[in-house]
Amino acid sequence: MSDHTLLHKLAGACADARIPGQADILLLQMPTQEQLHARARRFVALLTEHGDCPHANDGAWQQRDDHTVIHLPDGARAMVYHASGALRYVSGLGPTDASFEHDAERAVLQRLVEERARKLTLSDWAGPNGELRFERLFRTLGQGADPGGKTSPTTLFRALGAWRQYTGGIPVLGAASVALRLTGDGRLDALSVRMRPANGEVLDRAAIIEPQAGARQIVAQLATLLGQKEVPGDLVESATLQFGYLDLGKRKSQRVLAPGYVAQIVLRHKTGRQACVLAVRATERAYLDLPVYGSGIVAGHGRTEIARCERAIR
Amino acid sequence: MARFGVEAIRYFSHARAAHVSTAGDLTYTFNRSNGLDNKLRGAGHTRAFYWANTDVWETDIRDSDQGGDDRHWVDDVDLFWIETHGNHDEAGHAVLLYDTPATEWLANSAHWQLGEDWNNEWVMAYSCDTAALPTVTGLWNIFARMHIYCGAWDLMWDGITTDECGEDVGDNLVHGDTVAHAWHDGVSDWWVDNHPITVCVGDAATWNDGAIRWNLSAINRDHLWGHGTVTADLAPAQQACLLWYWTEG
Repeated sequence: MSDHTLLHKLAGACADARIPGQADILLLQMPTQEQLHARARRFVALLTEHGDCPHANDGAWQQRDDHTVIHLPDGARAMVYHASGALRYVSGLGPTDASFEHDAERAVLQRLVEERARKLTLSDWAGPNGELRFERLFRTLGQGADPGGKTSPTTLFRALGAWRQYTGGIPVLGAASVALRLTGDGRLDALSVRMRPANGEVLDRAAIIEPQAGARQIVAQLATLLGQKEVPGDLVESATLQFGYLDLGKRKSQRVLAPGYVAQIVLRHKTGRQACVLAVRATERAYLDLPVYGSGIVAGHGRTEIARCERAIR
Repeated sequence: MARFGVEAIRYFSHARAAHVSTAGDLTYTFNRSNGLDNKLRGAGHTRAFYWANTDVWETDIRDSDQGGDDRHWVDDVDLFWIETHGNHDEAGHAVLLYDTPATEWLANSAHWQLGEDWNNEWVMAYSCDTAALPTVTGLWNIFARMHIYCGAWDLMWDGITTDECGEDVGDNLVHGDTVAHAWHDGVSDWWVDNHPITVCVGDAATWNDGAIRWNLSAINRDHLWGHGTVTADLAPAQQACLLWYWTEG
């Protein structure tokens, strides 16, 4: 595969997707502290009502740097993230507590997590023009071996369902919009809801650039990472490209949902593999800052022989 | 409270120039490593060192008896976080790529022995493929009283959706989650499959002739110092099993 064919592979990955010629740029709520607290209370009340979290008279609230924690009985906690309004519940169970008695087929596990999501009416968090679609099932398993090479049977500990929010038929790409994890005895072990509340207004309606144009920017980014003018064809193990709105993460403020192209590319080098997620905007105009190459290091000093000596003396 | 060390390599230009690897630079390396660093220091834990790029040396994790200097670095902290490119060899030893040959370009876990007479309990490696499931027992030699190795049994993704993984792992640790849970949950965005795995050793009571008593394992009981229980160190003579716990999509 050459640089040119990587381009076509990425663009071709979008061939079956119905990419609109135009898309709305959706304004998002910038939640106030009161709104965040109300959202967190609604979340905990919902779980309590369904018997999915221990009952507490409002719990003990603690504000941290980028989120507020609500400490609940039995080591459980709920969290709300200040920048995005993302919500999270964790049961406090140990990772291997309450395993499944038997391995279960993926279809059975998917049914279990989907039933629980329905019961908790999680799609209500997707907003009036939104919907939730099931995306992926994850399982957590365990096994062991003794020094003689005897291995234990595999134990299934957790099943987790991940859903994607669609708004106006367009997926909101990024971390799963909802992730719900169940124990073997059907208890809710964890739940995260990362759907930003929209404010109901449209900032603009923007023309969408062709997938080929998005793919070209992504290939250029990748070549830069590789320190090359082009991406050597024989390095590429797999490559996909998706179109959708982009959520920048639960700790980041975001004023709008704007369309982007997101590639997942796996490279195979002789010393190992490399898996990259690269995102570019899908509109001519920039509605959202996409930090391509991340932050710099915070620890400023270099590792000199003097620093090593100081460390050794200490 | 815990002492921790961070090492993170984002650029691999020297390794490429030396024809050691064609590996590309990473992108959100420092978002993750800075994130973990901020969260742990914010909760009162002590950062012993934070090295980046060519200041990260493979001798920092190599056993002092095998030409390395782990007693002053990785084995001198309770928790060690590293991010770089990873792999494993046929025997299941973890392999890590460095951007400077101090003294090797590649670390191989055949030469690691952690927790020995020193300090280390937990190693977290945000790197691809360092603990492949079929050969995971190849990691056994690194457990010289160390408790848990946290790594990936396949790909681990670098990009805009995994940039908060360091903060998530840090938050989980200081909120009192187990180390295993902090890793599995923290490095997963539940979109890309990050293949987290945690590996520990157990004693005969835990192995229980193959009917594993998982509730006794470090995977179920270890928390960061100051945030819950920590299991006792297991010397090699007490180790009756290797246990691994992984998430797959």
